[in-house]
Amino acid sequence: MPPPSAKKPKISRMTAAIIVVVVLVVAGVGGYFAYRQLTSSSSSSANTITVGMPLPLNSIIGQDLLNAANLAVSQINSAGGVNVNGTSYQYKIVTYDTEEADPSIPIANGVSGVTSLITQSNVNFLMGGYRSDVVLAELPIAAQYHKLYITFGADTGISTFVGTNYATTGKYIFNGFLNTTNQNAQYGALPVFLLQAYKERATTHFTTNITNIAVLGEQAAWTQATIGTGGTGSPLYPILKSVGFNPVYINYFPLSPAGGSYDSLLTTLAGLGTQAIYILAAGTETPLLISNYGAFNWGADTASGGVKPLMLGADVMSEYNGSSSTNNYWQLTNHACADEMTFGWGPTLPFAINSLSIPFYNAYEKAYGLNPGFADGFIYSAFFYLANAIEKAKSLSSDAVIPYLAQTNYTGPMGVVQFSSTHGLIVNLAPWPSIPAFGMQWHQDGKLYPLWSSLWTTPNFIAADTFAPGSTTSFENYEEPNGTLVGDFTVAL
Amino acid sequence: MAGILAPIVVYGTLFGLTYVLIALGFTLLFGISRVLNLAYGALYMVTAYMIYYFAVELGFNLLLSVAIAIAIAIGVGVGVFLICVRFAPDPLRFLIVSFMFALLLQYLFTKYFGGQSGLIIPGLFPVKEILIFDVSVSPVYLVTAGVALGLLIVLWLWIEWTQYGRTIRATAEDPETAALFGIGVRSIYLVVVVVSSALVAIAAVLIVPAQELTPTMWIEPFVIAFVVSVIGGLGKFKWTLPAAFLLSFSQFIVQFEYPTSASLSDIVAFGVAIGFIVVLPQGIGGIKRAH
Repeated sequence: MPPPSAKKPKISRMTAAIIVVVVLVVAGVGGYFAYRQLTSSSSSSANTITVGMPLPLNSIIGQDLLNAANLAVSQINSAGGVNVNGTSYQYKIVTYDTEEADPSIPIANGVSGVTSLITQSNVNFLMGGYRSDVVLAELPIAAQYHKLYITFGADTGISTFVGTNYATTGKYIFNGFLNTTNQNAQYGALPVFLLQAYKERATTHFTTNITNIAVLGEQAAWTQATIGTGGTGSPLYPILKSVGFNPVYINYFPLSPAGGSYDSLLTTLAGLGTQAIYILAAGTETPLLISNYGAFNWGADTASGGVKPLMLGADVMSEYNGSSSTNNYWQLTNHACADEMTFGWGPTLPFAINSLSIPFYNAYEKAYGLNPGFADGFIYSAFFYLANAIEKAKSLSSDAVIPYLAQTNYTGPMGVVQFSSTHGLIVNLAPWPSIPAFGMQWHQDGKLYPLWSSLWTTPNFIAADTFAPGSTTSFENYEEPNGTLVGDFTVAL
Repeated sequence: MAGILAPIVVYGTLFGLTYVLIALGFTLLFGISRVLNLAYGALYMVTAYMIYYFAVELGFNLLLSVAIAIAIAIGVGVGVFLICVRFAPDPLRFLIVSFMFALLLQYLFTKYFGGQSGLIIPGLFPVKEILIFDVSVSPVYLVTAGVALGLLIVLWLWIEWTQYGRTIRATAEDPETAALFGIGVRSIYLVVVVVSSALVAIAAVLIVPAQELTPTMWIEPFVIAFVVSVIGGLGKFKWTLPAAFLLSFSQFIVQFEYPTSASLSDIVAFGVAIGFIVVLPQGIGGIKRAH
């Protein structure tokens, strides 16, 4: 023991401050995880079916998938819930934000999300996912814990995963979104459909015979099967040739272009005499590309005669017509999307596959003030056909539910849903015989309109009044894709 | 389109000057203080989000929002620098801790802004592009190039031809001797950090309105700053201009010569940087001295 007079060791103010900060941080972090543990352990309570949803909730894409899920859950729960062996169960959703709509976000976010939902939140089933590479990394985790996982948005490689070790791991995975086994044939035909639709709607303003087409695919797993090595090595190249196009350029476009501008890429396309740009994109980088395309000066001396090329293709972001700058493509692209024709899946717009589509559209719009996004009809349907499978299995065990889910034959707003032997979605999307999509285009009034073509051989659409075939829509100060100001005109839908 | 020469010259020049603006602060700070501040790029992201926050979320006047954002970026830059100097004074630890700060800022902004997609801020300039030698050019990059050139000249005059510039150079040469002569080394460092932070913030103000905001948007400007600095010679800010031109012209020559090779221009850019580190570690600015 030191004598009473001995000096106590000094602790500097800085050291004391550091100790206090460290203690506070440790206490805070520990408390947070303790709280998470306590709250998550109660998430699978009695008479609750907990569905874990790993989604990119930091983007409009994930938010609207969650909206569709919540809409289904509220409707099912208010109608009495799910009857499991005579007992009523209520659906409950637990989410994890994987941030995966941003291509730079690592795959690990999704893996830790699924692990957390299973081990911390004790979910019964999983639904969600978006980016193919992220979902592919999540699948083994779900299978390892014997959890049924219905995926949406992602596609590439899922059927291979299911088919490779079906009995042990693959059986737990279902692809709730359109699978693209004939992806390239569809993507080859879509420009023809879109151009035909445009010609039929605006014949007096459509004079250019478009043959020179450039294909820009975002750098992502789902575009690799289509873009391949690019140029003549692309699987899409011979298909585009066979339907009458001259593919002048097929390649990936960078997610972050040099200096933050796509101008040099557009200069290359102009130099190649590009008359149409075919885009394949599902990420959040497209507003910049479309904005640059809109602002670009195509000049008077380009190989295409100084005419601005048409922009067409698959662009998930183009579906969003919300009211703010973060979810309205018209605002996001500085109005440049007026020259972009894209395709969407019903009921992104209020015309429909069957009599259930418009009610779903209306309920969604009423609840959230937005139109449903590309996979919302599918995720909405999934809660209903999962409920059917649970009721037949009389169990919440994934192993018990899987055989019944595999036999799904459900009619919802997206048509009749069934699953293939590798759990790929088989959906009867009549009246669209070969292309499960319709065309869309933003117009100068800042609204998104449908496009359809006589190439869709059975155009017996069920449409809301304002979009019904045969009705008319007026445009003010309409500007053609080549920059010509047409002025006011009315077009028959 | 007049072949590939015109777009190579036009884009090479404009983006080269844009790279100068992005890299100038980074190389200036290293030249004076001899520390690699890897949080430099994050200030670009901080500025962008702050403009968005004040102009869009709070509805402030755009120019006022820009002024506040630049002030905040300077504040963050100075704060990070002082913390690093205090707790990680040797160059290696400074490098590591400043990089940690960049990631910390990225995650803070991801959490606060939810990493939302679709965040854009109104631009200060018209978006419709104009033709220069039949090449479409955004007014944003014309203004950015002009500002970069102007700031480079002002900075050069300040460092080379003013009394304060001489004290800065003296500090850069030998801070201990400078201190013996009564030069306030600490205040010199602070002034340089303020200027460096302001430069990257100005780059963000000019360039970001053409882009969507993401918490990872700092990585690309940081990489550009780093590569330009390596090519020019770390710390030799006078060589920033030729280094930036070497990078941008090599990128665009490759891009227009091999238009279907998606990532080849970036590969070349990094190849050039690695080549300089191996063959000419002092960069372009070291050639004369070496001879």
